[in-house]
Amino acid sequence: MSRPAGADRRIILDTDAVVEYADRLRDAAERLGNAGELIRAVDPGPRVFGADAPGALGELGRHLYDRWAAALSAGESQARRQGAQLAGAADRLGKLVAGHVESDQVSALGIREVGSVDAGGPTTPPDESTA
Amino acid sequence: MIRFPVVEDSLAAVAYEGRDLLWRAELVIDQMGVPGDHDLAALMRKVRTGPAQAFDTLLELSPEPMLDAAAALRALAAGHRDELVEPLVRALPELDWVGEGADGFSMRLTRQVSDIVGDSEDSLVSRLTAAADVAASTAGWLSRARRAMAFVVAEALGSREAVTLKRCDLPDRGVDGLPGSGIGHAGLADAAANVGAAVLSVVEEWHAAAVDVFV
Repeated sequence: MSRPAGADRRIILDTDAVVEYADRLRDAAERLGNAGELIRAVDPGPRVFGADAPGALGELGRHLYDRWAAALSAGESQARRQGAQLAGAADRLGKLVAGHVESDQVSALGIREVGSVDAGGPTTPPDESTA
Repeated sequence: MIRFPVVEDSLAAVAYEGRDLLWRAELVIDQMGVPGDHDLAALMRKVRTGPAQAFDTLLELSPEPMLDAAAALRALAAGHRDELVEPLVRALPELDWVGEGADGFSMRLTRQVSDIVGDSEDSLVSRLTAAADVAASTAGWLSRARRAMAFVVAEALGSREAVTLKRCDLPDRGVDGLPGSGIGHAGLADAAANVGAAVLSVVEEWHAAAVDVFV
């Protein structure tokens, strides 16, 4: 059965599974965002690398510690950044689930196709070109 | 990739006797200098410490905290992969969400997941693993340098030079040689330089190995 023109323009995606999935995404995003603290906590500090030792061994220890610290710092930044990205994905799903987003807005979010507003069959996705 | 797998070392076993011998040698070197043309002078310029200081540095450093840090980082990376991200990927098809929108969301999430747990060296898990490798390699290097130091000190402790240096009661009498023993300034200086050079050769060798790999 074909849908009346415009009747499928509202997003309906309020299944429990999607709500739960969005929550899981949000939880993963939060854990990733907090991973920076865990990564920092792993650092035993420069003395362990001999950074305060005299002579060539101390110089080597400082270099090794700087290299290690830089690797940790890169991981910390990346975890935070990727946590934010997952949070964005959770938000996008959340908006769909809430059913407050019109199809053209959804397209702008890069998420379309959302189920059916009637029993007449699958909806026609909004035009991809609006994304 | 771990460049120096960890080995057992017995440096602690020679710590007491080794420190005594090497501080005697270093005191003699400080007070009497290095005999002409002895290798020790060049080694001291490279390593920029005396033998006792170098020994103490390796003695005080332990591979354990680095190994603990590496293990913690690997556990963190594995947790992100196994408990955080992969369950999300597995659960996505269970949404029964089909169509272009689902495909678009899935593709985008897959890219994000790949940035976190993918095989690329730029992924978060790869970065954390690489950092763990740095710590584990450093721990391995240290364990090997400590083992080499333990060997050379054990050998030095059984040497004629050790007997000479031990007979000199340095803290109380200075380094005026050993009256009546036939061991004069030159004998003491040679003994100290030989012991010092043996120890600093090990330090120089392992320092160079670390520079090759890490710097």
